[in-house]
Amino acid sequence: MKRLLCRWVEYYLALCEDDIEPGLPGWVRRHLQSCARCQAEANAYRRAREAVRRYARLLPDAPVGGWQPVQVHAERKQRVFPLQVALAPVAVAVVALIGFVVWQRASAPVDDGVPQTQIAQIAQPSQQEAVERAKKVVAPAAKGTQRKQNPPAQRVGPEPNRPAPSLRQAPSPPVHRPPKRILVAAQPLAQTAPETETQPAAESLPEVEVPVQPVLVEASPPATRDIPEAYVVQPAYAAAAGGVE
Amino acid sequence: MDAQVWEWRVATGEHPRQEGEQQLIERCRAGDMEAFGTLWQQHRTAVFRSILGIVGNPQDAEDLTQDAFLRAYRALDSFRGEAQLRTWLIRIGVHLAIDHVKRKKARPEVSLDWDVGGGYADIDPHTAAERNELRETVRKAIEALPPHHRAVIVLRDMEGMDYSEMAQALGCSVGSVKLRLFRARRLLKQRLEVLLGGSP
Repeated sequence: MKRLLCRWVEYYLALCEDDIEPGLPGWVRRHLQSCARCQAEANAYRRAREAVRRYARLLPDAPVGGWQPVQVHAERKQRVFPLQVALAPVAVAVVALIGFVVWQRASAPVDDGVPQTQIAQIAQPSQQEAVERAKKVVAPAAKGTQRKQNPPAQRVGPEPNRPAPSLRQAPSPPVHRPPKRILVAAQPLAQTAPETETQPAAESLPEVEVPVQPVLVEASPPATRDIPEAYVVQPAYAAAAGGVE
Repeated sequence: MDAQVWEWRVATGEHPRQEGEQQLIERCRAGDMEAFGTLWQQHRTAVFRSILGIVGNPQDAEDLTQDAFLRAYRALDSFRGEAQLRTWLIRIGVHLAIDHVKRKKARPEVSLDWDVGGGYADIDPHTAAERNELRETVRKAIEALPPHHRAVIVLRDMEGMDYSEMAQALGCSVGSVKLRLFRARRLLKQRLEVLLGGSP
C-alpha cells in the first residue's frame, strides 16, 4: 500500500511536464532519490507522456476541402428567413384568440339553456303550482295511513281549556326556516258521526274503503321560495281544528 | 478567392492574414464570408485535432469541425473577446466532441488508410509499422478514458494549452483542470502499461 507521501509525489509527477520540472518542490525531489517505487512511477509517467506526444505528432491536419460546407450553410442561414420570426405573429394571434374566447366564456351568464322567463317562473311559482307539488308529495304517504282508520278525534282532540285559534291568526313563518319536513295525517272526507255513535256502528258496517283527503299538517317551503301563509299549517293548529285542512 | 484579387490585396496591404483578429470578427459579424474563411484557415487545424483526439475518427472529426465552425458563425455575436478566438473555437469543438462520444457510445472506428503525418509513402515499412502500432495503442488507451478526461489530455498534451486556457475551454476552474488532468494521466499511464507491457 502506498504511503501518503508517495501519493502526493504521484500527484506532482502526473502534473509534471518534463522529467524534472523546475517548479517541483524540493521535498519531492529528495523523496524521488530515496523511494524506488516513486522512481518507477516517475518513469511510467514519463513514458506515457512521450507516447502521447508522439501520437499527437502523428495526428493529421484538417482536410483542406472542409470549408465549402460551412460556407454553404452559413450563406443559407443568411438567406433563409428564420422560422421563429415567421411563426411569431401567428403564435401571438392564436394566443389572443384563445384569450378572447376564455374572456367571453367567463363574462357570459350561466343559463344552462333555460330562458330568463322560465327562470323567473321557477323562482316564483304560482299558488297552483305550489299546491300541486304539495299534493304530489302527500299522495303516497296518505295511502299508507289509510288502512289504520284511526279517527282523528281519538288521537288528537282539542284541549277544553284552550280555544282553538283560527288559521288567520297563525303567526307568520320565521325568517330562519327549519329544514324541509312534511308530516301527513289522513281524515275521511265524509263527515263522521259523533264519537259515541261511530263506535258500535263500526262493527256492523262492511269493510269499505273510505276515500281520504290528505291533510297537510306541516309543510315548510324551501327557503328560496315564497309560498302563501295559507299553505303553512302548524301541527298544533291542525290538531285544534280537528284535522281540518 | 480569386488569384488576381488576392495579389491586389497583398499589393495594397489588404491581406486578410495581416488583419487583426478583432477586425476579422467584426467583418464576420457584418456578414463577410471571406473574413470567416480566413478564420477558418487559421484555426481549423487546432479545432480538428482537438476533436479528433476525443472522437478518434477522422470522418466524424471533420463533420464535427464543420459543425463547430458553423455554430461559431451563428454565435459570433455572443463572443465577447474575454478569451482568445482559438480557445473559444476549441471549446465549441470539444463540447461537440464530448456530446458526440456520449451520444454514440460506440467505439470510434479508424480507417486503415488514415493519413498520418503526411503519409507513409516516404518512410520505410518498418517505421510505418511502428507508427501504426503506437498510434493504435495510444488511441485505444485514450478511448478507454471518460470523455472529459480525454479532453484534458488532448488540450494539454496535443494542443499545448496552459491551465487557464484549458479552464476557459472546458468551462471549469484551474483547480478542477489540474485534478482532471491528474486522474486522466494516471488512468492513461495504467492503460499504456498494460497495452505496451511496460516498454512504450
